[in-house]
Amino acid sequence: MAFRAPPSHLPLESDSSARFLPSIVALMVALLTFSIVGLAALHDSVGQWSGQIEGSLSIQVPPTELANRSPIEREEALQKTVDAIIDEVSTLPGIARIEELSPDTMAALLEPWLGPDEVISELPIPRIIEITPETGFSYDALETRLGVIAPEAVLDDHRIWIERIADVAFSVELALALLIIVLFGATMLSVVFATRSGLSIHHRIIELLHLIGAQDGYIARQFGRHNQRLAFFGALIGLLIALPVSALIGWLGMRAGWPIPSLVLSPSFIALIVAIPFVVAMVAGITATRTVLRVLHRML
Amino acid sequence: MTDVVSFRNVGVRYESGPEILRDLNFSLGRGSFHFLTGASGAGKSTLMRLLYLALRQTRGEISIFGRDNIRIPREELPAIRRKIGVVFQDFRLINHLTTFENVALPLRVAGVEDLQIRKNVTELLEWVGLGDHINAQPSRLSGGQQQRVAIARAVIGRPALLLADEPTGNVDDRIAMRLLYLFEELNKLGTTVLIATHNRQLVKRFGHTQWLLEGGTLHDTTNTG
Repeated sequence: MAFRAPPSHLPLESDSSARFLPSIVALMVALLTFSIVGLAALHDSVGQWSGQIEGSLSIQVPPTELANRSPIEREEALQKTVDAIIDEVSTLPGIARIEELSPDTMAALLEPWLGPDEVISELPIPRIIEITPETGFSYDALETRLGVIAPEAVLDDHRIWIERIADVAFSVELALALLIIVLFGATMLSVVFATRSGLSIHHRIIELLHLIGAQDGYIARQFGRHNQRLAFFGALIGLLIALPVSALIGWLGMRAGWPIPSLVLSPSFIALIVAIPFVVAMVAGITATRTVLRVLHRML
Repeated sequence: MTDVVSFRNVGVRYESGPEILRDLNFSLGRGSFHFLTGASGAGKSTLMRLLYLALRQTRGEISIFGRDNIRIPREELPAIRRKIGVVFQDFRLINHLTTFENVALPLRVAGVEDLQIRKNVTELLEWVGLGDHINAQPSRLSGGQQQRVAIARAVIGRPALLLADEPTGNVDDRIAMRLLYLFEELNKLGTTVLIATHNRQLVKRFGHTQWLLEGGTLHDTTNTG
């Protein structure tokens, strides 16, 4: 891209667009960068949450039918049911791991609410079996088998949570993507308006160039190069504002315990961010050139 | 003599107003020299605009360099305009460019090489007496000097047709005569010249065809003065 243009016959550097365009492009690119970083971070985080939730299932075996038995009899009956479930379910395809949450682990988890171990062992606490599914896993097959072995067991697959998170994440991602499109469109519209104002300011010189035999492309290229340069510097300033602010937000997030989204640090994402000023400048140059050509075409 | 320009029953009106030029029938032969006179507002500038292809007639036919002006494809217009040198009444110099760059403009847009541009422009500026003002900006020049820059820009590309709208309006008689001699020199080299002026005293000193634009129509006044 020709950012160092040859001497222009149009005094474009002196008109108001030379100040207006970089400012508006800087603002738009800063907002654009925030949106892209936000979109990437959200996309990455949602992927991680879904992965974590989707990665495990749990079966709860409640002692509902055994409430009248003595604690020892109840625990023996419960253990028998748990063992039967583990034996049967582990034969199903797509089960990477199946394991009962041990009574000690359960006691440790419940201790803050129910007190020490001795009390917990007296209470009818449900048993929890954790399952890690893998490729080939069928939720329906598990549900059917469980219905046969232990109808009272409850299968918790976190499906509602995943669906809710996915819905919210999709809506936010869609909104951010639309925002990015709107911001990019607004940036290009400002280029069009700045070009038109330049055309209006320099109308007499353009007409002179036209009348002494300058091709439309010759005049349009001067506007194109000028706007390309202004948009590039504006976009660079916008990026230099947005990146430190995004980094600061990330640092504050880390201090609050949020993980850094891995996508934001990937080479392809960094390349995308670095490409913003070049893409904006290129599109601004093309937009300005086409706008001038359209206006010149109306002249005789 | 082949006609460079020919007008047949040409009329011009702006939007729905009255015709300001009507029934124009004339031709400019190759290598001819004409003066166009007329009072202010007679339509001299409008006629000039028709000739340098900035305006189209509302009726009639105009042939320029043997081409019907209406039928010339848009992409061919720049090449035809490069054959026409124009001295505008208001000079139309570009203020942020130097004298040299203003004069060089027609050569630059035509893609002439830098070395050639430097040689031709420097020579011409010396000739019109502006050799000491090559790097001056138009705003630093007097009205007469600006006019000479405008004339130099019009003739630098050795146009086949030279149109000058009041080229001697801001200069004293001595400079005016010198500029008209420059136009005559170009004319001798084959350039067709049409000069619009209301300085009839100056016109009388030269023996060229004189046209008077009055009431929207053209009258030959060469012999009647």
